Amino acid sequence: MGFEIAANLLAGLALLFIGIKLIGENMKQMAGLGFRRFLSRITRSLALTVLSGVLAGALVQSATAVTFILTSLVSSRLIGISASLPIIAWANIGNSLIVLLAAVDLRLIALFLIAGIGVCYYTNLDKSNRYRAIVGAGLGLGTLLLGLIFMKAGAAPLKQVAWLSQFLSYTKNSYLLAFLFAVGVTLVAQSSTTVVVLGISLARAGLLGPEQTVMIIYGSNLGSGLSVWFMSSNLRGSTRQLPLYQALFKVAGAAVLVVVFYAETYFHIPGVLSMVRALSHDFGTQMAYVFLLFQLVSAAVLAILPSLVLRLMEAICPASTEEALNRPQFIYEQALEEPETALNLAEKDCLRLVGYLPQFLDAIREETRENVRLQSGVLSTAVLSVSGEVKTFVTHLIGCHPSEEGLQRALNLERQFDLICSLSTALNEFACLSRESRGVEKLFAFSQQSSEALHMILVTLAENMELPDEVGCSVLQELTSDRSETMLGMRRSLARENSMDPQYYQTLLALTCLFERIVWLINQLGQTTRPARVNEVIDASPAS
Amino acid sequence: MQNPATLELNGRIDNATSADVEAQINALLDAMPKALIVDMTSVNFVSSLGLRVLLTMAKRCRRENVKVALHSVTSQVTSVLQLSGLVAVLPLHPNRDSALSSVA
Repeated sequence: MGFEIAANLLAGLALLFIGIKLIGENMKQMAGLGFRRFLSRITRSLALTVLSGVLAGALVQSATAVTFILTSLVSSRLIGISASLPIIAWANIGNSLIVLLAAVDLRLIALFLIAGIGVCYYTNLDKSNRYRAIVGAGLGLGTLLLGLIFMKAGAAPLKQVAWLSQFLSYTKNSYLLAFLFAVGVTLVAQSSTTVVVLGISLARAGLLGPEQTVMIIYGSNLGSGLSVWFMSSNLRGSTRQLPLYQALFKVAGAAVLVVVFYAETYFHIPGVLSMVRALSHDFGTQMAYVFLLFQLVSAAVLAILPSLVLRLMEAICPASTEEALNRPQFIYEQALEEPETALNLAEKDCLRLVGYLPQFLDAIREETRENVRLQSGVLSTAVLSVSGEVKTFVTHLIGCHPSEEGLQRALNLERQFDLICSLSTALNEFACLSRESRGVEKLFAFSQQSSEALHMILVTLAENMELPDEVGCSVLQELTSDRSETMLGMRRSLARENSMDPQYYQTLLALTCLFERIVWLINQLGQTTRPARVNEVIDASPAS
Repeated sequence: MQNPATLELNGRIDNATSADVEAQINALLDAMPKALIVDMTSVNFVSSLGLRVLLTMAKRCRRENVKVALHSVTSQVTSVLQLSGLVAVLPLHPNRDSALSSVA
């Protein structure tokens, strides 16, 4: 039985993680402005926030899963952290409401969802550009729900484990022990419901008093909050703030209600027990009210101190350097209402990315390789991520019918972002290949010389794009003119050094080809920049 | 024609020395010569920043109509100059005489 429980729990956890990853990856592809606006409409309305939170909590029957789904949305930048917090709070309440109302069969939901996704795969919808991301996100959700089912199935036999019931019944003389026991078991079993149900059945059998059962409910809630925090240990930066919020949510509820519990038990001050006894005579319903009350109190405590909670979350889980890099710095959705401003902002984000390009070579260059701040792979991810987002913004801007000049600028920006992405990929490959060639003296010397040369050209490009002038533009074009003859000569000369080694020649060929490609891409990017004076002359010529 | 300004550079042109090299170049160009000859015999390394100094010099010379030429460049430095494309804006000459005749 022990192995089966462990296998179910581990498989459930694995499916949960796979599901979270699938949702996140596919949501990123769905991150168009339309979907973003839809989500922002939901989070801007209190009624819609409450409804979506309660429904999510009730349908998924796990605030943990809702927290991780929202974490995926946050990391895909589809929804903000502060906008997600009320949804988590309401999901906790929705999850406990379902205990009071009717139980939704999560298994059926998951199975029908997976069946639907299977049909999508059968009809090749997973290959369609339009629906691929939706199908992928659906598969992620199905996998996540299946993971939860496995975990619940794994935890269910715990109710029949004799030593567990025996141990739980030992806690009848200690409220604190019942509380701590529930925290521990929930952390291991990953299911607060199982522990609560076990506590209620023992209480019905007369093995536990109602007080111990209440403490078990509090403890299992705290345990589930802590388990979310531990499960999120693979997340980095501010994306971990939502699991932290869920943990704080449970800590806040437990802190307040445990104090109230002791005040009621030892000083006879009417508290939760008196209240639920007044609400219902049925023991099970009373405990369901305790469960609900825990969520309401937690939500109320965190709602009283929103700025403190946010500050605490930012202090514990600050945004990582990569996160800041992966986000556009200047564009924002509302700017689309003023196309001129929107274009200026998108151009600023473009310049910011061009400024990153020289840093791709830091790990190879003699003067910087000892103190590399950001590896080329990190920079490449950042450039591709920001480019994708700003390009979506620009595409949307083009659809907003800008002026003719605005349209030209927007189209030019799209071309610039395409070239920047290609440059980023080529530079990353060049940096990786150069690092690999460290053991071969001649090749490494060549890659170092190339990286010094490319660095200079890239810095010149960045300067020229920021403040274009006629001489600068023409010099950049000369610097990046066709050099296939030069490269051919260098390749031949270097090939003579070690002509018998095919690996050496392959690396040499790849390095020189990449170098040529990078120079060509810089040339193309340089051509998209025109100095103001040249533009003025071109604009003025038809009139004169 | 007046004699061209001449500059002899040594060692490495990198982060540590480029500011000094740039100052020397600017001091020479401030005197508004008709031509500038740079002797690279003793230069054994040019970093990205060093290349930028040479590029800035080339741009300033172009703006101010000053002829410029580099001579006696070592093979290692020649490779960097070729890779950077600087040879397109800064002509290289095998020796001082050749450089002098090019700016005459």
